[in-house]
Amino acid sequence: MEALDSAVELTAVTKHYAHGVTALDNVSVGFGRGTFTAVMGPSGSGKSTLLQCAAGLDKPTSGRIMVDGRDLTQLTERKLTLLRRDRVGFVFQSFNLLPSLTAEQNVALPLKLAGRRVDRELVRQSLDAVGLAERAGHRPAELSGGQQQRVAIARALVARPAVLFGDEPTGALDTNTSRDVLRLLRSLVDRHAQTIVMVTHDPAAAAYADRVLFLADGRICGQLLDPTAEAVSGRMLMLEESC
Amino acid sequence: MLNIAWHTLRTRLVSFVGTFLALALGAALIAAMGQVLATTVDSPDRAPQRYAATPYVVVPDERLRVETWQGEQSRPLAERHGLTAELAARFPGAVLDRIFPAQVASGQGKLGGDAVGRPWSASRTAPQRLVEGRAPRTAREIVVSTGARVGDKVSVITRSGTKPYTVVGVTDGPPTVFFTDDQAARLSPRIDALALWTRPSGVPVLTGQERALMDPNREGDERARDNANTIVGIAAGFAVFIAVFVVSSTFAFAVAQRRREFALLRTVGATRRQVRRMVYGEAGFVAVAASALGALAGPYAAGPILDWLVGLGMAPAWLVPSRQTWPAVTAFVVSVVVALAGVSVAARRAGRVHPAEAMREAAIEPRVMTWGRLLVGAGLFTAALISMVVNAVSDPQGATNNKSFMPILMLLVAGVGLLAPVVVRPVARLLAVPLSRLRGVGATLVPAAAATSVRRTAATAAPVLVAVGLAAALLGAAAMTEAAKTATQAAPVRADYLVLPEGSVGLDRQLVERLRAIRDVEIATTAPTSMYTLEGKTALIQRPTEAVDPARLGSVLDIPVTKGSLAQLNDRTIAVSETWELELGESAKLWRADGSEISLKVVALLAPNAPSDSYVTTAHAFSAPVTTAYVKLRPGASAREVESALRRSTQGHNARALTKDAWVSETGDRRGSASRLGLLVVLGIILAYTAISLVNILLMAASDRTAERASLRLLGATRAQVVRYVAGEALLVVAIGVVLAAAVAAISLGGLWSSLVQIAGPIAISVPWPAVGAVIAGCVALAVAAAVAPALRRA
Repeated sequence: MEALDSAVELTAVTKHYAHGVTALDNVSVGFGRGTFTAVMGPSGSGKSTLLQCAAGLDKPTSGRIMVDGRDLTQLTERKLTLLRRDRVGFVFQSFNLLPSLTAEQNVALPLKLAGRRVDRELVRQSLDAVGLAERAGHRPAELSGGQQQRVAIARALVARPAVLFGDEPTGALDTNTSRDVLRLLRSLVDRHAQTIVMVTHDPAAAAYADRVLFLADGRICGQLLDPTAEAVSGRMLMLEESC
Repeated sequence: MLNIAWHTLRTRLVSFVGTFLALALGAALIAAMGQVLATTVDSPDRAPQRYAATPYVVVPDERLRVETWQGEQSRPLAERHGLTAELAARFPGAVLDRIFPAQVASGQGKLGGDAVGRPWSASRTAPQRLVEGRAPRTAREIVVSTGARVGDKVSVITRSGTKPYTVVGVTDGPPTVFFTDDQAARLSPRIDALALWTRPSGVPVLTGQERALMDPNREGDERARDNANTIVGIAAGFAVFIAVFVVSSTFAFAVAQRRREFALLRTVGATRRQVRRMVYGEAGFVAVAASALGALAGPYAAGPILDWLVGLGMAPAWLVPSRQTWPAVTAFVVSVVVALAGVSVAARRAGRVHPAEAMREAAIEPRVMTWGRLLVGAGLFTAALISMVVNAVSDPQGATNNKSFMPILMLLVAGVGLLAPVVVRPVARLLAVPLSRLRGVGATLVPAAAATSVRRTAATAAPVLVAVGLAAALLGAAAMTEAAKTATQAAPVRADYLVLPEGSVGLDRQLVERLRAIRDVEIATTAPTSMYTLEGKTALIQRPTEAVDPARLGSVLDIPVTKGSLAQLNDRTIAVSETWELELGESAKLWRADGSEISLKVVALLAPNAPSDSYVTTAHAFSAPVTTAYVKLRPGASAREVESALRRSTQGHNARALTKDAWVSETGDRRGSASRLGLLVVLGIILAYTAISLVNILLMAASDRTAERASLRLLGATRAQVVRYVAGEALLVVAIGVVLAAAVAAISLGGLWSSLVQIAGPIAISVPWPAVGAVIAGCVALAVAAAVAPALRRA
């Protein structure tokens, strides 16, 4: 029942790394369409691995991962790339814009890679959606951190992905800029029913999500619906003490 | 994808310029060397000299012709018969030219060592005009070209001995002694050529450029051309090798620098194939542009390189620079192929870059030492070792040859270069031990940085490996080969003194008789001549032989034989090298220098270190001049008396006597300096290119690390500390390159040594330390400068 509604669905996903480290231990979780989920946990809890596996950047040792109705673990490398290109968006802590391309060119990059005719209007819309329409011609070095991250979000959204993954998207930003970026993410969920999965360690950031998922030692050890920053902080403290 | 590549270009300009330069210079180097090579091959011969003013020349067609089942084979005869008097009588207007060695005795005017005697009427053929005095009229009068003045009384040495003459005239032109026609005919009855001013009928005639066949410098010219061709050929071979080596490592490095960019493209949806295509496309663009530029510019360097070679005496000055286009075309094709091949591995690697890498902050290097690299490196390395062992065991003589030594050396360098990443970490750790005694942050940072970025370290150490390794191995090999040659040459000589001629006349008959008259010594002479053999029943080969007096030979030379004995050498027998592939006791069908067929029984097989290829008796020498007289003191003889007797005998005969030791060191020096010069040419070209690529790759590496230096500065490092840090790292990289080079040099020289020992007995492994030290110092200076300069600018 839940699987049908989920943009991303993990079933019994386990990930072992070399040297016997278990990053994910039999994790099953779904991310519903149009929901905003924050994944939290102490360092080494496996939250980044969860994100990378869910996004098809890393292959799990066992288990099944469905994204937009397709099983990632059954796809060839090429098909996986094409799926990522069309159905998955990424935002990183370090923005990861190509420094030599303008904001507009950066946003158009996924379309170019897909070999599509670049629809300038679509690119403008994406930039407009993140409030940067007037800075389209600027290069990353000429933009502030928050603006760069918003360009990265515009780039992630330009292909209209089924899910947007964020790996500490506000990790490199100050409090005010963080708030702007998080509000932007929130509004994407509310207005465009965008599915967002975001790894963070900041309770204030997590509070923007619909649901917070807590991870420890590669296992899900709880969740919080309609979180507040205080409640998240409390749960995190408990988690860290129990570890 | 290409336009993405194009857009991203501006951020990695240094790396782009670096690869472009490496390739353009490589292409230019190949094109230039190719052009010089083409010049040595197809430069036209010099215009006729001796018969410049004579339209028609009749010369005897003197070749040994032998019918084989594959058709007729022929070789020019070493011993010429000349034209018959009957033929000469048919052309009354012709000049009867005779050309024979003749020299004015030194001390009474200096004529070139290769002066020839000719009849006065032949002075018209060049022409050589009188600048002073008059033509010779009597048998005792001569005209010389330079070196003596009218009225001088001189001794002239010919094969038969010396005779007094009066100089009555001086001409211009090449070193010549003109006698009256009658006197010339007495001294050299053989008619060498007829010079004619009207076309003769019924006889083959040389006209136009063909007349150059009779020029005195013809053999010398051919030799000079061959020498230049060999040197340039070797240099061109190395140029291609180094270009391949440097270009592929530079391209691979440039791609490795961009892992994060590729990871990023992969996360935004670039497929592996797209990344690969982008790398190929970009490399293709650089390859075509840079190769074209290099291939077009390269030939312009051919002129200066040629001039340089001429200045060093390694190439004849009369070469006319070639206008061939094949060197440029070859350089272009080779460079493009090399660049694309060099990038193919890198492109596959780039395609495999994991998208998750974009998420990581620090660029963590993947395993540099892939199985493929390990396999190819170990393969090349083993191939070099195996061919070295095979050579040393089966063909020690051949192993010392440049043709087999240099490819092995190249294999070794390539193998070690590929295996370099394996040793970077251990060597860095080893070298870190002395570093850790230093105070300060450099002690921990420097080896750590080198060990973390194995790829960068290996790539930067590569040019150092090439420069130092090749310098040490080539110079060391040259020194060892020379030492072995000198040892081989000196070992069999029992004589105490040698008498050597100073010109082409050789030791004249009078002189030899005077030497024989000296009391209390054994004298034996050798005269180099030729024998012709038919090898494999098809190939007629002219082989060098020494005509000796077997009765006396044993006392002055101890010639090593593997089978048989030189004691049985007589007019019906021959001693030959094993390379002739004749059996002991076999009756060999041979042709002598004058073309006469003879059957000689093989009585001895010479060892590889014998001083000559074969020995016959003087009965087969014909007119071959004696070139060496060996003098051995009898027991109880007074060395002082013999020495003064030798001095007296050689006086006025343009010959000199020297002790065995003096002879050994003199010949060693002369040969050593010639071959060392050739090597220096090869090395000079290698070093120039590797120096550029070293700077190039260091600048590329430095551009990568602006951020690292900036964060060091933020951590509170002073500018001086940052500079010391980058300088220390450059030094460490050079040190690693030197360690690798030492391995290459040690292995190659060890292999060579094991071959040489078999030929020449114990010799020392010698490394020319000053030269190698200079190369290392050069690498250090360049590396430190190239590392510090960007740090100073941006620190």
